[in-house]
Amino acid sequence: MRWGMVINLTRCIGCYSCVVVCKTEHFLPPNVVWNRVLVSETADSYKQIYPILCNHCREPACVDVCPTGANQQREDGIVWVDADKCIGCRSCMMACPYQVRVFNEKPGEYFPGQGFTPYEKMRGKLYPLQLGTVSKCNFCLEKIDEGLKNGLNPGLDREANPACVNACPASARIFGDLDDPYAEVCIALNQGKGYQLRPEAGTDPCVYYATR
Amino acid sequence: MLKVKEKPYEFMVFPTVQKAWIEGKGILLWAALFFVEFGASLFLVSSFFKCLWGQTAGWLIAGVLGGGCHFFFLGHPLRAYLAIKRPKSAWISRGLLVISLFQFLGLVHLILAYFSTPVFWVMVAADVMAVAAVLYGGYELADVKSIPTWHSSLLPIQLFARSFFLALGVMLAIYLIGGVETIGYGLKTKKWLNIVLLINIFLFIAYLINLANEEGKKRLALDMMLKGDLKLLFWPWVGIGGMIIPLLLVAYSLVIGVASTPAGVLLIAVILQLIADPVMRYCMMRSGSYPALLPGWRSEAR
Repeated sequence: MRWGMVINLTRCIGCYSCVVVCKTEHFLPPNVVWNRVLVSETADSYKQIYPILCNHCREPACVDVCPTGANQQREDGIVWVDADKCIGCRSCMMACPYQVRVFNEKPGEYFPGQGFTPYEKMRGKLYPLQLGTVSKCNFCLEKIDEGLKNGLNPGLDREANPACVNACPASARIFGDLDDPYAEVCIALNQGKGYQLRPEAGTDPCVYYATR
Repeated sequence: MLKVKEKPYEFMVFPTVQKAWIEGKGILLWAALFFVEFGASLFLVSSFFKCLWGQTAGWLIAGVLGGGCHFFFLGHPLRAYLAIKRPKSAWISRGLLVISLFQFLGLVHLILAYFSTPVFWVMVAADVMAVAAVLYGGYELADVKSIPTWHSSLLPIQLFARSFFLALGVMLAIYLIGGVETIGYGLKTKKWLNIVLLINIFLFIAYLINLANEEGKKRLALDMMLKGDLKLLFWPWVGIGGMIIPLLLVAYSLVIGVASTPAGVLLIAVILQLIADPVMRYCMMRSGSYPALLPGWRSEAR
């Protein structure tokens, strides 16, 4: 089993829903972003929209360079950070060719000067981020694990899907098991001629981009 | 051209400079690598000339300044032992381990030297660890595969050579201040200081040539230093201060005769190169950049 994602670029409308829902799901402060949307125009005025998140690479550079073993890869391919082991050396941030990792500094306020909202205060209780450590997208592994425990099928059942997949209004994000050839994610990958970002980095990402 | 501060919407759309190891607390890593490499080099050079004050100064610079900057750079410094326990995992682990061993063996050597008879093998062991500590910084940077200009097998050797000859220059300069005309092995201090100054200039130029070769036609980092956001830092301190003025001073020394050169002339050159080296390292770390992510832009420099 290897969890992965296909993002259909012809469906993505650049609405930033994935960015917002990721922040609300994980109570992320303003200076911490796990999901990004890169927008640019090429020389021939062709607009490119690329939603970016941790690629949960098969050969993760971040795991190789971690001096303490805080960066780990599970058997299902999810790369996660054990904040209790992280010393905050930022080697993983440097090693990541996709720059999707964030160093947790003192959280800022969404309404500067007005203190934390009740919602922001809940972060400490529900999803604390350790200061001085590195964080990143974890494919909402709590939801996946909880779903599997309850007999759900991530990729098919919304309750077991990453938040960004559920929130995408254009269904541009397809999540599932890349080892299952009949999974929707594999079909989308084959039909859409999925490709990886910066394959020359040699990390073999599990997030693919499709153009059909 | 690369910019120090890109607009938020330019992040990774264009080649993007690294920030984790140069901005905020990240600047402490730049200071840590310089102090460790310079301090350990000073210890090493002083060992060749059996210079106890040099060994003490080198040990203190590497330990107090280098080790201190390393400590405060980490987000959770009290967990650093987790890294030291796993030297096979990453260069930062190996670095913290060799710095710790260098500090321990250096301290044992200094205690024996000051209060008893120095033991040759303890000093050799401390020197071996000093070499490892000097090499660590270069390997740490060269191990970052995502930044093409750093991922060079020559970088550790260049940084080692620069640290070594900078420390040698500083030690010779301090001998000169003390009025020592001939140091160990019958070497004339002024003559060797001239040679060391020239070697340092050559090493600065060699780094820039290597950078140009690594980058090929794009030359993003090199242009950032020579023509871009770093030019006001690079030219006064490295270009003029580290290379042109020392070259002129060495030429002046050769014209009037090495033996009759005033010590102040050579001291100025050494001080300027002592400033130029960390500035050059800063420029190198500041200009390290990630290639753009989007396929349409990957092959295009802005």
